[in-house]
Amino acid sequence: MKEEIQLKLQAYLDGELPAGEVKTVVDLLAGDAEARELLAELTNTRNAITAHAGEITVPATREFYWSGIRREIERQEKTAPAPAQSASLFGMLRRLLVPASGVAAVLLAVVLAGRQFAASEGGTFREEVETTFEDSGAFTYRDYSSGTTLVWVDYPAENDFAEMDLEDILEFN
Amino acid sequence: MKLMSRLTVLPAGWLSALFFLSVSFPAIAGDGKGKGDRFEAQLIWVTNGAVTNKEPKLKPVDPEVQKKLDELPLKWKSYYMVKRQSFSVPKGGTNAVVMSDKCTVELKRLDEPKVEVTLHGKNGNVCSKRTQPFPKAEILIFSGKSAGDTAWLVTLKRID
Repeated sequence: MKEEIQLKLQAYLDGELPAGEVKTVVDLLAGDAEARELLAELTNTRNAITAHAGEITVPATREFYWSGIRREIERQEKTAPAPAQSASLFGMLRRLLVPASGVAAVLLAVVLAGRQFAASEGGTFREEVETTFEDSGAFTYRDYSSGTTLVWVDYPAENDFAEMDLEDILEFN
Repeated sequence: MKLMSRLTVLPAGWLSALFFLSVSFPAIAGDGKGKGDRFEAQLIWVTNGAVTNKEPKLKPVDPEVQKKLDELPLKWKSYYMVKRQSFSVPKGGTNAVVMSDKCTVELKRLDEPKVEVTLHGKNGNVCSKRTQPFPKAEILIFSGKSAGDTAWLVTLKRID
């Protein structure tokens, strides 16, 4: 049996079925033995529950009973902040330290990742290089991708290392 | 007596000079092929001018070095090899090669893979001294300006 029909039978039993659908359910019950069995079972279950459930009586009117509950809730809400004030120093520290520790963790991760990246990109190389230039005008260019280091030495041009005789080599126009 | 003293002093002077040179620059005394890791130095002349090819010393640069030079932001168009020297340096030892009358490269092997490279200029003056890791794929280039719009490069690489 479909769940929709089961729900309609339950609603029919509870008297909550819309008037337009009552006839449909009655017709169904007339022609469907399984539906009748289910309705009988539901009826028996409801009767058993209502017969054995204890009746609880409140020693006050309904309005007074619920107003008492409301007053108790309001009282607890008013008294709730008091413990927070007593632990305000710890609370303030916690409010400060939690985001600070989060930021510190992120910074640490960034620094470590940066060091790792620098090492993989030649950081180790940089740390191990020592240059003692006799010529303070010299500078160094490092191409990490090709593993090439160029040291430009500001050495007097007249001390040409290659000793080339330019007039013999170059075409001067 | 004068002749005798000359005969004894002159060879002694030459022997002393040779001894000094062989200790300071073993590559000068020998062919540079000893035990130890091998290195290669190239003296390169670079220019933007048109070369007449009158100079027989000019040869193409080693392709591996040329490739590295092409990757550098240098302004010169033409690279010519003036001299190439390979030499050996034993572990913990020092060796040097003379690239020209005004240029000598000295290499000292430190804790692997570090080396100390000294570039000597005119009269053996130290132009630059550098300590760095120097594995096989590494190339170290010293460079400087020459007359006109030219420059010199001294490249150094480890062969094996």
